[in-house]
Amino acid sequence: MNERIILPIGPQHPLLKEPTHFKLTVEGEKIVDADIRLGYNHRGIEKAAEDRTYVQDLYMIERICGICSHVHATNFVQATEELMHVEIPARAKYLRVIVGELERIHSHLLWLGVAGHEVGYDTLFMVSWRDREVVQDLLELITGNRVNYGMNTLGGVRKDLTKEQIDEVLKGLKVLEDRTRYYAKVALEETTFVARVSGVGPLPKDVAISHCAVGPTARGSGVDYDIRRDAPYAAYNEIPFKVITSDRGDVLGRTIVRVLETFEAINIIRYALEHLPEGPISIKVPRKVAAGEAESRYEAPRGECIHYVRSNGTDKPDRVKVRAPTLANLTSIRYTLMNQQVADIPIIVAAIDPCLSCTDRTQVILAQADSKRSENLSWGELRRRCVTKKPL
Amino acid sequence: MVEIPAQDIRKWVSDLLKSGKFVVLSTITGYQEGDKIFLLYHFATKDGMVDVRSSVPLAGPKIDSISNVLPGAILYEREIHDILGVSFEGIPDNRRLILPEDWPDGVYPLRKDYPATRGEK
Repeated sequence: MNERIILPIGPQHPLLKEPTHFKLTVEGEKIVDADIRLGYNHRGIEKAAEDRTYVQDLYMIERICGICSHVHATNFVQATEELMHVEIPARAKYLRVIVGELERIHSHLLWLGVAGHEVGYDTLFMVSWRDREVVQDLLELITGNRVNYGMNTLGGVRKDLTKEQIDEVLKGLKVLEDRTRYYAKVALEETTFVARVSGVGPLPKDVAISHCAVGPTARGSGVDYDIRRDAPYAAYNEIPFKVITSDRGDVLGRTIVRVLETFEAINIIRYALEHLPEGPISIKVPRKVAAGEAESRYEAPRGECIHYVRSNGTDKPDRVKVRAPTLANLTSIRYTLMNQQVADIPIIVAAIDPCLSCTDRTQVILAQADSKRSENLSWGELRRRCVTKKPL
Repeated sequence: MVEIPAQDIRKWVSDLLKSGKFVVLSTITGYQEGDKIFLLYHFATKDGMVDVRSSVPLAGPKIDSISNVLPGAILYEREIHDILGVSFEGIPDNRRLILPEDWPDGVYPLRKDYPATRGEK
């Protein structure tokens, strides 16, 4: 069969959580080429940041992402604090780590549910999202919000932890640990799940490095790289933890990394709560920032997130650059989709942790020159054929 | 921070990759200052984080693409091409990445002459 079909997915699609456009060329069931078009959600935040003060920017930048809002807020305040030459109190650093790791647990549990859903294992989806409520409640208890926590401020954090709250968090962590132990069993031993995802979406280690993949996508291919260990920020240089990698290089490898990382996150929070230093949680910072530049890197649930802030001596930044981990992982997704089956598209795409599934509409191309089956439809014509005259 | 002339960037990156150690390009930042556009390549290596800076003139900004030696750079180069109008010589794919199809040619939103707020109408 020499007929190639372009399978467009998105940008608007009932099962697409974010507007991205994938253009996949398929030969029968095999994917032979993949192309990505971004920008449907481009809001011009980098430009808008140049027109606002640092404090206003913090609130805007926290809203770049709903799942990892703490990542962006922490990254931006870290870069700005470096420009201001201020050192935040030790207690604030620990509190940033605690909220950051709770966020990682909620993000990984959310991903596990989505992955289960994409392979038709909806029980896993229901159960892991139920347990995710435990961590959401803890985040609400500490920060007052389930999303966009508003924890960070320039010079520290805004909310302190009381003794009672620490006890509540420890109780919640016990529940989460028990549940995660069950998920680890599912991800590593459940025969149908393992058979469904092993060998799917292969990404060899050298390709992961040359395509600059980050986070669990890279670590699932054996790339031993974690910003928390390799360029520690906040209090990570004082907290012991393991960097999880898997040499499998497939969707199963990425699943194992995420599940085991959830255990590490629980241990990090326990350690941080036990060793929480006494003292103030924030210090006063200047309103104007001296001219200079600073970059900040953060190990987000999806991988390395990098912010670059350039100041010009006023109360507004000159340039703010944000690179979120999904952009870094989208380069390698083209490679992982090659020669895979159409039925594996959802789980391969979900494995880097954006998520979309299902197919849209098709257009036949590259058919034989005289083929009567190939036809180009205008949008109006397609609509006309779709609309029935009579009500059903 | 390493400053290198724009014409040497591809050679510098190839030499870095030839060292055989772990090297990942985290991103490329582009920013305008005066009549120049600066490009900042943020690398993460086993020996630490390395930043490389190069500059090109605002009138006709051109630099060698590094995507042929480092495939992971392509999305960052396409993004800078969109928003700052820097053309990357020898880039395998030069299509728009983030701006809409009907965005006017020659308008680059992250340059300083482009207003951050929309004027009142």
